[in-house]
Amino acid sequence: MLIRIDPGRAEPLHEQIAAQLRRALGQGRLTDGEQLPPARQLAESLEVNMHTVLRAYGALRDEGLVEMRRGRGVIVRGAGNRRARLVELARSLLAEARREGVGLRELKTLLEELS
Amino acid sequence: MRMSVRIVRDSLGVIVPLVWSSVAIGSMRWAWDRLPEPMAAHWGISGAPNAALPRAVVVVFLAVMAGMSALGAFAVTRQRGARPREIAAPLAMASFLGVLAAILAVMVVALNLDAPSWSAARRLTIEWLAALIATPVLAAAVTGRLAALLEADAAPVDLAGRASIGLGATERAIWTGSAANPWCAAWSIAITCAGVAALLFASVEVAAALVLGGLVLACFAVVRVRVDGSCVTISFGPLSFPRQRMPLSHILAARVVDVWPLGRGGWGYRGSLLFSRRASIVVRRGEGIELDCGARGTLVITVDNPGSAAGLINDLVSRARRGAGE
Repeated sequence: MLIRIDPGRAEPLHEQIAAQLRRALGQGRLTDGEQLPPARQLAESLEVNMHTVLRAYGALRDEGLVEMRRGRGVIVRGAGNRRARLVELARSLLAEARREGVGLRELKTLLEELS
Repeated sequence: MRMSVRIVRDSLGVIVPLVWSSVAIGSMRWAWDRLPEPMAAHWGISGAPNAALPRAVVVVFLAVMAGMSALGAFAVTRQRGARPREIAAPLAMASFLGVLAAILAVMVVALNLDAPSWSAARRLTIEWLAALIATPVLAAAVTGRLAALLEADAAPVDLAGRASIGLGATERAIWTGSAANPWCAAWSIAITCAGVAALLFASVEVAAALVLGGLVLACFAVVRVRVDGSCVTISFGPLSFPRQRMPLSHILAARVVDVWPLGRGGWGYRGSLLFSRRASIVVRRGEGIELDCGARGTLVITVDNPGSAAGLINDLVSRARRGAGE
């Protein structure tokens, strides 16, 4: 699994890490029951603060994509794979809409029209 | 692979072992009635025969030896996708064993021929001893060379150039991957359990040896690889211990390779960067990554989906070199 972040970009580092993991989940490069690298190790390798990694892991946990257990590390929850892809798609749609100056309400109407 | 190459490769595995097996067995069959029973089967340092075996035992021994090497050679060349260069070493090994069986058969027949009893068999001369050592070595060298020559004719594997993931100048990245072998894990557990059981039924030494063997096997049940901005870390076993680190500054390039265990000398940690400049960490057959460390040697590690790892290593290496102003 490859995680790449760019401190030069405006997006916060923890969001970059979470987005990379979501993409890996969505593409099936991370599978059910797989263990993510320990936060300390990931932080050392990416030269970021450990809290940045924990924040990214926390976000994924809140989305139900991973499970965090004391002493067992962070484990991928298989059921999350499809959802991860959707969440990532929705995020990029939101980002694109924002760039085009389309507000949330307008985007909602657009989605309703389409469905 | 070209048709002609395949034909030569396959005949190396079938015809050649057939030749040495029939030399071994045929020479015994031809001289059967002119050999003493039992026949001389071992010679002392002085050159005089000092041990005897029934003729049938000698035949079975030679047949097993020739058969094993023939089977080995056959299995090696029948491996799908095996490349000539990779099969060179195991094929040379099979040649050595097979030709040794053939020359042994010729020698015991020649020394026992028409002797009234085994103790009256001819003396083992220095010429025979030289032939016994030189012929199998020569056979192994020729077979290995032939297989390597075929390689020049076979299609090259990777001309795709240096893999890259297009890492930006300010980007940081980490890659993690692993390769596992469930058979190895099962064996490791079984042997460790046998070691614990041996405490009750056998000596402490046997138990310790079995447990140690089980633990060493466990190291190759799973191997993990981590690539980051400073080094490539390889960790062994479920506890990720021990570890081997290869600093990026030692690496020139990385590429994806198809690892065929027998071509690397088998499973486990093979070779040594220190002594032979070529080491392989083989957990299973299939994809792996090759680290070209220049004068330090070449390290191959089996790992799943190594494509982006090779790209990341190459990008990190060239960035470091640009940074150093080369």
